[in-house]
Amino acid sequence: MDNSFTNDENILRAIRGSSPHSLNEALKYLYQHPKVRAVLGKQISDLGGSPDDSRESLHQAIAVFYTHVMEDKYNPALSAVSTYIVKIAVQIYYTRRRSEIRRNKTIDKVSEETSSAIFDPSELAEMEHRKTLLDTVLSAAGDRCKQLLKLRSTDYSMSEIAEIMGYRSQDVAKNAALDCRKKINEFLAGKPSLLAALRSL
Amino acid sequence: MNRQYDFEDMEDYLSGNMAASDKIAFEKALEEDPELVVRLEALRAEVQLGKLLRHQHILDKMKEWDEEEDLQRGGSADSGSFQYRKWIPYAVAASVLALVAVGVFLSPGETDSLTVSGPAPPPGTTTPSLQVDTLPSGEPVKSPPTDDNLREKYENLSRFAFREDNFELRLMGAGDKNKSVGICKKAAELYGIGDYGGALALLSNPDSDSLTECMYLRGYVLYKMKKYNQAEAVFRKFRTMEFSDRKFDALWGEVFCMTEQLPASRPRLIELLRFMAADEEHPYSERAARLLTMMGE
Repeated sequence: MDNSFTNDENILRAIRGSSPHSLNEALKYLYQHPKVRAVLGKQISDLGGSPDDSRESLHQAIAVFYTHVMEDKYNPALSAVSTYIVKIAVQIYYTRRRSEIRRNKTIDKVSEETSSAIFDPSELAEMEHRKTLLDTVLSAAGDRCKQLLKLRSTDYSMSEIAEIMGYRSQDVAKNAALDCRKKINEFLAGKPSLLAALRSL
Repeated sequence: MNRQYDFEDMEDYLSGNMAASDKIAFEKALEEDPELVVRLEALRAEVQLGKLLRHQHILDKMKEWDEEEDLQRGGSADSGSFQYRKWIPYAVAASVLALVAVGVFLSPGETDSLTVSGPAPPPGTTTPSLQVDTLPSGEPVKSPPTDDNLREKYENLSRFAFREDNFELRLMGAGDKNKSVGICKKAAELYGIGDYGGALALLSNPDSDSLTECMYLRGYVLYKMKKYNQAEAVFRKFRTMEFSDRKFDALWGEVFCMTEQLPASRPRLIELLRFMAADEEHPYSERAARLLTMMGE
């Protein structure tokens, strides 16, 4: 557990900063935070969910929280980070269950009452749509490209990418990244509907 | 295909690293070459792709952290993950609760005194309709368990069954446009701070506009005041309210009121739980099935 995150401000600074390591540390801190897990675990359990449900909801909630921070949708004056994440996670759990059983008046009602101001349930569908898009695009590039581009997108330097992925030098990593991007460019150019879907995000 | 402009040229154009004369020529080519337009659009889409990749990267990292924790947990006891220890009490508590409850209900010495339910529903009637009959009259409240062990088992069942509701959150944002919202909201605030007597007094005369929400809250207030029989009767009224969004919750309200009245309430509790468990679309179906299992049914 990283002790440098003594308050929400530190966490937000790390997330908004350019260092991928600070970002990872901040998200890891939140993900492993005992209070977040305990409160969420209790709430999901009370609703009939399992520890796996809690874990899965927390995964998604942290990712949503990150997006909300980066898009300035999160207002620290209105909610503490831990509270915000738990509310999103519970909302995600409700939404998933609702879609599983199709009709559930109770869940409709509770999802409105828990955190409709924080997390729009349609975001979950949007997230799944995005995941499908990403998988489709990256399938054209292969696993290695996928990993490389993921690291590149999270601001790892080329020398770090070279080290992580075992390239001889940062120049080799840079060329590999360029090749991957070209592959994807060619692929997307040949798939107008996919390109349009991606551009509309 | 022999292209006039390659990937690097497009990148230079988008990043503003193209000489003015080259830029003019490039833009002229864009007007004449639809394929170049599409390729440029595809390059622009890298922005969106980057966002998706970051999102996915975060999800992947969490899976990595899960694996780390699993490894730590599977390693030495001393180096076990601090984080997982926080989860363990819930799992342990649930397991112990279930085992103890099942053990008690299955033990021969006690089964006779507890198993007073009627026969299981006949085949083909797995989803019986519930009757809106009246409860046993008077104020039987909680039948006293025969000994401390039994009391503990009943308390475990009650703890499992009870589901707290956040009335303040539900009523948050509701303005005081009319008296009823004000009454219900105020009562919810009193409920939140444990002033059940005050809440009950307010709810004794709700306005019809928010009758169902006030009534639902009233069930909880009575439950907290340990007036389980009365609370159950309040929740039971929702059976006739076909379109109330509290209908399902209120049914579960009946359940946790009944668990407080064991063993006298056992027959009707079993009947209700079987009804809920049989309906897979019922939001409390799984929970009802678990409670039945805990009761040895």
